[in-house]
Amino acid sequence: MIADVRSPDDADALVTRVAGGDEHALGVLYDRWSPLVFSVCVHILGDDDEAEEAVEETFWQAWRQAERYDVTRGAVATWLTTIARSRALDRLRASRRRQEETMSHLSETKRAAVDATTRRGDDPARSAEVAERRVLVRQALLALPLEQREVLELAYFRGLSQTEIAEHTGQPLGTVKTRVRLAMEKLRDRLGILRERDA
Amino acid sequence: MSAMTHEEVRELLAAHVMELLLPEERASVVAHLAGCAECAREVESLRATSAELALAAPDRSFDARRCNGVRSRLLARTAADRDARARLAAGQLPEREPLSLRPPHATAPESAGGWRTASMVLAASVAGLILFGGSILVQSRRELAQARESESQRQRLIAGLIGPGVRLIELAPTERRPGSARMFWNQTLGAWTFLAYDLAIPAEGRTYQIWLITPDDRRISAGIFTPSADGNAIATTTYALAADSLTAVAVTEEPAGGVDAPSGDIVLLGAAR
Ligand SMILES: [Zn+2]
Repeated sequence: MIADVRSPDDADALVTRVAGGDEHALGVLYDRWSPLVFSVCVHILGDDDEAEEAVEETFWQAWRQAERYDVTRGAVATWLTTIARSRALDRLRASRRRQEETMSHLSETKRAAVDATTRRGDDPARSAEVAERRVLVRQALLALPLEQREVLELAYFRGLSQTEIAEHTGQPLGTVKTRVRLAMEKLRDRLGILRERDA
Repeated sequence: MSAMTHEEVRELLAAHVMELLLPEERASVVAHLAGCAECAREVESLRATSAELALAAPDRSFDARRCNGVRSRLLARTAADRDARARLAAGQLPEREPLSLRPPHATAPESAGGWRTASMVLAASVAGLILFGGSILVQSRRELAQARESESQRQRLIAGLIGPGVRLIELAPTERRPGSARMFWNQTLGAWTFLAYDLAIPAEGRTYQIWLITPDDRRISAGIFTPSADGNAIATTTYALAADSLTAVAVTEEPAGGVDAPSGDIVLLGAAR
């Protein structure tokens, strides 16, 4: 798996300390990863206040579940962003239940799908390797056809089911399912290729 | 839904790792995965890809005020959680006061050498009750379910106490001493919550004392504390101080019982920004 800091052992050791109830270690984890976690949350929720809450819930869950963290399954960054996505989507779905989503939001989403893959800039995570990783993922996404990128954006960052994506995009359900599968498989292959070339 | 074939399941694995499947589809996939190593491997690999997809989120700056606010709330929650878990694990409750907190330190309004102290209410403050509340913890001994309830109660109370208007002062050790600390200052409530980590245990007959230092060089005692065996401590107090009246927070080592004006070495120091 990817190394998410200069010394991956250092990040793993940090999580072990968090699992042992060391809140100082959680503070260090927070200082290192909260900018990345915030970026994920605010991209999903589109609202700074909601994202702030989701960041707190993410690190709270990390605190409570640190003993379940499995070093063989992934890097600390992706462990945290996976939690962040779940917590942010929970909030998004809850607010969606309260308020029907408008089409204008979806057209913004279309734009975001493009932005997500083309935007460059300062990386707030301050971790060079995660910054490189983010560039690689964006490059890999950019290599996908636009319609595949769009289903990934709607599925991954908007939490829409495949049926909902079909309804919103006017595409047949079967087409949506195929796009989701192809997009993920291509992304995986592409990330593998880029990683090898990078190594 | 009837059992899916290997090929049908393969089609759904990407959606499965992104948690997009309907409950019945998901159940079929999970059932198949239990008996198909090939699909299980595929899921692991797609799950890693899915996790990395989050890294594609555009960079957004997490402004310092928000970032510190979340940090404050989080650490207040974890401090309370750690404390509650330790007590539950030990199956016991403190006899009187927790180790890390001592009764109010009476201070004289004026003292020699230009160091002035102000009286502060320690331990009996609302903050003290919330973090170490006897009644809440007594409930927790009865039943775990009640403990969970009381913990969420504590968290709610803490969330109210540690609001967005909280200022954070980070204290760093002086010279090569161990330890660090944070003071959370809720200006609205005049509540001060002090969390210290990895401190050396003071010698017999000695204690740590917290000081609020003002621009006109007053040293206001914010109470005394002794860390627990692991070097951590929590102390709370209430004291109304104007928003522009804090220059720094310091911790000194003093004779047990505390002093009216700092006399010992500064152990931790943090400037208020
Ligand atoms: Zn299979």
